[in-house]
Amino acid sequence: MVDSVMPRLYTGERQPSEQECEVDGLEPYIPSPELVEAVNLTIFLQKRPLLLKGEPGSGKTRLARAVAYELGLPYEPWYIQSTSKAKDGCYTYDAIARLHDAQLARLDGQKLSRVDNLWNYIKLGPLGRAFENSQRTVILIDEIDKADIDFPNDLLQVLDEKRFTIPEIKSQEQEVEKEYEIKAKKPPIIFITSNEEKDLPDAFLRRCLFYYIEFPNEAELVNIVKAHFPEAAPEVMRKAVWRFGELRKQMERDSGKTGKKVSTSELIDWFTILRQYPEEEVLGKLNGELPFAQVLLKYWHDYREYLYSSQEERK
Amino acid sequence: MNVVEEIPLLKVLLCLFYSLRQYGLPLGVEDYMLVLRALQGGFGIGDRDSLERLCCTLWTKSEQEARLLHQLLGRAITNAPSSAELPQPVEDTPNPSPTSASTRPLSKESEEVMDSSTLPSTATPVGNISEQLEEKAPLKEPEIPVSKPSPLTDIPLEIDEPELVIQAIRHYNRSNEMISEHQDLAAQYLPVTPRQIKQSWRFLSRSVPQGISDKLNVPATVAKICQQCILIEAVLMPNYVNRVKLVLLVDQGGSMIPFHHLSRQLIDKAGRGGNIEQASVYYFYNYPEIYFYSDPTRLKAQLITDILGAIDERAGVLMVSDAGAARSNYNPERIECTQRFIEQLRQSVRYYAWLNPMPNDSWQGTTAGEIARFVPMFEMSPQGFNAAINTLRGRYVRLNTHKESMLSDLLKQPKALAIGKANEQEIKQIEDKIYETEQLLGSISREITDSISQEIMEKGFGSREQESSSSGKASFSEITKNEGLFAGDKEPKRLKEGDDQ
Repeated sequence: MVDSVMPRLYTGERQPSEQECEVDGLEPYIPSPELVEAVNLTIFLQKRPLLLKGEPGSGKTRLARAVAYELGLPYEPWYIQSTSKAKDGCYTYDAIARLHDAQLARLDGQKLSRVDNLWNYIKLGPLGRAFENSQRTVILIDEIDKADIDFPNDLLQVLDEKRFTIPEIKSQEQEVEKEYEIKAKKPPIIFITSNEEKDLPDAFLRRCLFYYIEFPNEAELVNIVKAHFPEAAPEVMRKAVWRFGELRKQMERDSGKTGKKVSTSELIDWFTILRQYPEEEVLGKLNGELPFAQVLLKYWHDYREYLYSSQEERK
Repeated sequence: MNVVEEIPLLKVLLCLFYSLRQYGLPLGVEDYMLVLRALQGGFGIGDRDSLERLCCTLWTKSEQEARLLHQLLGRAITNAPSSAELPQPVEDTPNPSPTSASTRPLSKESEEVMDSSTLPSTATPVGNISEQLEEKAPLKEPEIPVSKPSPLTDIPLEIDEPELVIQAIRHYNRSNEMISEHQDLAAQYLPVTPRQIKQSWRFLSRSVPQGISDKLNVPATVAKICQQCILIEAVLMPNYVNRVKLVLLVDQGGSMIPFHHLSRQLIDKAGRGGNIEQASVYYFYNYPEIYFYSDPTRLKAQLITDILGAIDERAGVLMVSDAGAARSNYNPERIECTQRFIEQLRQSVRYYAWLNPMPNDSWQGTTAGEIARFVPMFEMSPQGFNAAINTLRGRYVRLNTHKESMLSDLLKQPKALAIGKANEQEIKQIEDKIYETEQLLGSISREITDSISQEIMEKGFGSREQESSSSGKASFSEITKNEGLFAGDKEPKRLKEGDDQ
């Protein structure tokens, strides 16, 4: 029951056309109404990033892109690696390139002016670019838990105050030398995803909004598949989603809440393959042994449990 | 009057906020304000679910916390007397309906409301509100007078709600705190979470510039070339490595069995999480006597003297033992043996500390209390663990037990004054005590100054080496900073100069 008073900037209803999907690599995204509400809350409050958690493959990363698409805002993804530093998100300073230019400056007078201007060697990172943009920007900080445990703490100030300084560049202000400062022109919309590989520090969590992406139910799954494959036959779709749901339920029973289970993204991959075959053949395959199990089962143990057991049953 | 329109909602919210805080969620006034802002923006209004979703998004950070909130919200709603009327969508109640007003007898409160509503200003008089609040417990009926009948879209939320929240936080009584930890089960069991252990181990570092200056200081070199237009000489700097070595001596078995999980965490995180160069672990039972064991089952014995001889002088030795506090007994033999061992240890290493999984206040009158007199002993809490690590880094400010107990006595005294129960004689006593404290604090601060200046000296030497190797800009500023410090402190400077000659 979403109240109409709520500012609904993001609706989750506008999906990219087929052409856009092909050209720009966009994909349709069907969020749950609760997620839409959380996104709108983030946009409304402006202050805090939205921390998304959920099973792998539940669409944490794709959300930011979908929001940016629907609202027509610029999009700045920042994929975190284990070596990422908080500063990289703001800017990087290429000292080696400057050295290179300085060496060449002896031969080429033009280069000299280039060497003197430090801006030629500063490259803004995703956060820096978003702050400089005069439009509100959607920022994605993907898999923040991959980085070092101190990484989120280093980001605190930048995310809190929406500004940072570049110590390499000094500016004179009333006779006082100051570090150049970049301040967000418009408050960005920040999404952070985490796979819970490492705990995040409390000080960081305190500053985030939190949303846990639940696994969609069967009807929602059908909708998601429909959005990805608009021209697929409904019968095949229902059958595939049902078969997928059965597998997932079985996995839940066996490995409990903790183990790796088949995810939405795997369902879409699986369905892509199924679509290569004629309708009747697919329906036939779905009734028998799990077709194209390579897409869904990633452990030898799973293979044994879910593939061979069904064969034995039939014998 | 649409005064009470939103009050059930606010009451539920405040109740929920209060109980979440009791469960240890780190929520502050700002978080509460955020929910109010969101409510004003039209979020979370409608039914229970949307309110819960809003609170979950804003106040909880994990699935467990969300489940807790779900439970507590249910309790908060049933506790609120007018729970039958849940916050309705604003359009559904187009008129400031008299229903809720009629269920409530128009009593003194509503008169007060009338009074305040006659005031011309839009803001509510703060004095009035605080008077009301003093009369009532913070959770009872937060009556919020509104000065004028506001239009429908304008939900009168922003008014003086924060005061209630601040009150709630102040009234928050630690003693009846139900659950202090709200994290997962494993973390609930440990006094220090694995993350905190990892973080603290990180602080145990002794970065030393090692070897000759052979690492290229890229930014400094480039800056120099840009200045001189040609590469004359590259700026080099020595490599910094963490040379910290750690020896863990773990009491295993007996009264330590409940804490085995904790010691395992400590050992594991020291080996993997931190950046400790070398961490070795030895086990003993109750107290170190002749042998240490290199395995937790205590089968492979090694002579203590052998091990101590092999330990690097600069290594930090951390002992993990309850020292008899877990069974709260007093064992003179244990004290004697421990003392003998500490004497031995003192001869081979500089820094050592003792981590006691039992809390500080349980040591009194046990072997642990005695041992704590001659060993820097800390309880296993985030603060205690950090203090132990600081000690291993050579930054321990020793407060002996006598001083400690005196200080704690003194801290209790002013309360008597404040209550106004103290008679003249007591006041005289207290004055004497205050004089003593000043003396005591003087001596403590001298100790602190000494240890700090020692630290500065160590740093000073480090940067001096850098200076001679003409390092980059950053280290130069460090040197100037250090010298600034020396100017204010004569003794270390003299020492330093003497060393230079």
